[in-house]
Amino acid sequence: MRLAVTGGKGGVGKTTIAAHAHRLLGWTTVDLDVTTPNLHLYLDCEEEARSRVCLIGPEVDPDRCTLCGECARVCHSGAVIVGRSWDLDPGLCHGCGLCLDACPRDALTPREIEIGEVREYRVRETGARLLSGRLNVGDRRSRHLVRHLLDHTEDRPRLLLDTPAGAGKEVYDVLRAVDAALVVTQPTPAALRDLRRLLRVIRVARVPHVVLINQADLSERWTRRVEREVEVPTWRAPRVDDPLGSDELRDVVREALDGLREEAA
Amino acid sequence: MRIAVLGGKGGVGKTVLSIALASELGAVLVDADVTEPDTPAYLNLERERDVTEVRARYAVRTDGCAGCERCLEVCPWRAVDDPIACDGCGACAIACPEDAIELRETELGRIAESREPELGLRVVHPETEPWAPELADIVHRMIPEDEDCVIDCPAGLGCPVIAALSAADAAVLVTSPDPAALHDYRRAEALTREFGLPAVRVLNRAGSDEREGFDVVIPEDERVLRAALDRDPGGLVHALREPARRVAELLPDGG
Repeated sequence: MRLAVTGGKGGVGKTTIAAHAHRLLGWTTVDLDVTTPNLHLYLDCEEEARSRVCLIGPEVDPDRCTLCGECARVCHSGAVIVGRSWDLDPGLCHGCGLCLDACPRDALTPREIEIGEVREYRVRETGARLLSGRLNVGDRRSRHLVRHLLDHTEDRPRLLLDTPAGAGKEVYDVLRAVDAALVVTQPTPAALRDLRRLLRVIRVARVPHVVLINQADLSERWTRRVEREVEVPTWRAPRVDDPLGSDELRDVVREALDGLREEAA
Repeated sequence: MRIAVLGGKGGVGKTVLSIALASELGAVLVDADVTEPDTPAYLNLERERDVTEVRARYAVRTDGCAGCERCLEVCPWRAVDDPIACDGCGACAIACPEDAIELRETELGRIAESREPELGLRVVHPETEPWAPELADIVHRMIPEDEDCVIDCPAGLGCPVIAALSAADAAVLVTSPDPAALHDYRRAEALTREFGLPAVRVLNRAGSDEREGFDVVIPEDERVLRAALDRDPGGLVHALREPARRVAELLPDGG
C-alpha cells in the first residue's frame, strides 16, 4: 500500500503524524515538502547518501548554431531566447526537450540543470529509509522535484509519503500516486476551511481516506463541526506536551491507520 | 510599501500577524495562499467587487490523434486530458505531429476584494479552484499597484512566495521556536536575502528561552487562539497590537 499523509493547512501536525506513522509501519518514507523539508528532524536518523536532481536542458554548440531560432519557437517557457546570439535562462527551463528535437543543425546537446537534491537517511529506530527532497532555495520547479521523487519510488509496494501544505497541483500529483490518504486537520475555522478544499481535490483524485483531528481538545465545538461535515471515519488526537514521544498520540495514529486500511480495502 | 510576510513552515502565525500588521499600517491585505486562502476564516469579509477572473488552459486530444503519445513524453505530469494536473504550458500541442491537441480555456474562479467592517481592512483574496495553475501570476495580479499592502504568503517557499518577494519592498520573517520551524525559517531567510530585501525577524509563540537573532518576540498568547476560534477579528488584532506596532516601527520608513 502507498499511503500519503496530507492536510491542507500548514502546521496542523502532518509531519508529526507522518513520523508516528513511519515508526508504526517501518516503511520507506518520502518527504515531499521539497521547499521546506523537515521530516528528518522528527526522526532519529543518519544521512547515508545524497544525489543531485537535474532536468535535461539544452547546451549550444556555437559553431553549428545558425541562430535560426527554431529552438526558441518551440520553447513554451521562454527559457531559450535567440537574437544575435543564443541564450538560455536555466531557471526557466522545464526539461521538455522540445528544443533538442527541433534543432535542424544538431547544434543542441543535452545538459543537466540542477534543481535540488535527494538526501537518503537511515532511520535508526526502524532501520527503514527516509528520502528527503530538497529544492534549491529560490528555484521555482518544486513540482518537478515532487514528480522526480514519485517516479523514483513508483515500484515500491509499501511507501509512506509526507505531503506539502496546500491543495494545489503538487498535492494532486501526490494523491494520484497513492492508494490511500491520512488527512490531518485541527479544530479551527482556518483548518476546516482548508480541509474542505483539500477533500474536494481528494475526491477528484478518488483516493480512499480518513481524517485525524489533531489537538481535538482545542475546541469541542469545531471538532464536532469537522466530524459533522466529513463523510469518512474520523479520529480525535489529544493535545500533548511531547507529541513525538506521546504513546497516546501514537495509539490514535495506529487506530487511524487501521481504519484507513479498512477504508481502502 | 509592500511587505511580504513569510516563514517557510505552516502554522507559525503568518496570517494572524499579517492581519494585525495590515490593520496597524492601514494597508491592503493580500492573501497569497492561492490553493488554501485562509483570511476569510479569520475575518468577517463583506465582498466589495471582483478584481479579475482567473482563467486557465488545459490540453485535450482531439479526433486527429494517431495515438503516438508524443504529447505525454514531453509532459512531466502526463496531464494531457487531465485538466486538474495540466498546467496549460502547451508543450504537448507543439510536440504533436498530427496537430491534434486542442488547448481549451476554462474559468477557475476570480480574485475578489472584500472589506472587514470591524477593522476597516481591505482584503484582496483568491476564490479559485485549488488546482489553478500559474500561482505566481495570480499573486502578481492580486498586488495593488499604487497602494501599501501586506502580502500573507503560503507555507513553503514555492512560486507564490517567490512572486510575493519579487514584488515586495520588505519582508517579515516569522517562525516559532521548534526545530522544524527554525529549519524552514533559515531557508526563508536565505530566500529573502537573495532578493536583497530588508527583513524584520519575528519569533512567535516564544517560551522563556531562545530569542537571540530576532527583532520582535511574541510570547505564547491564548487570546490569539481564542480570537481565531471565535472568529473575532477585533480580539485578534487587539491581542497582537503591540508586536504589530513593533514590526511596523522596524520596517524601512516605519512601514
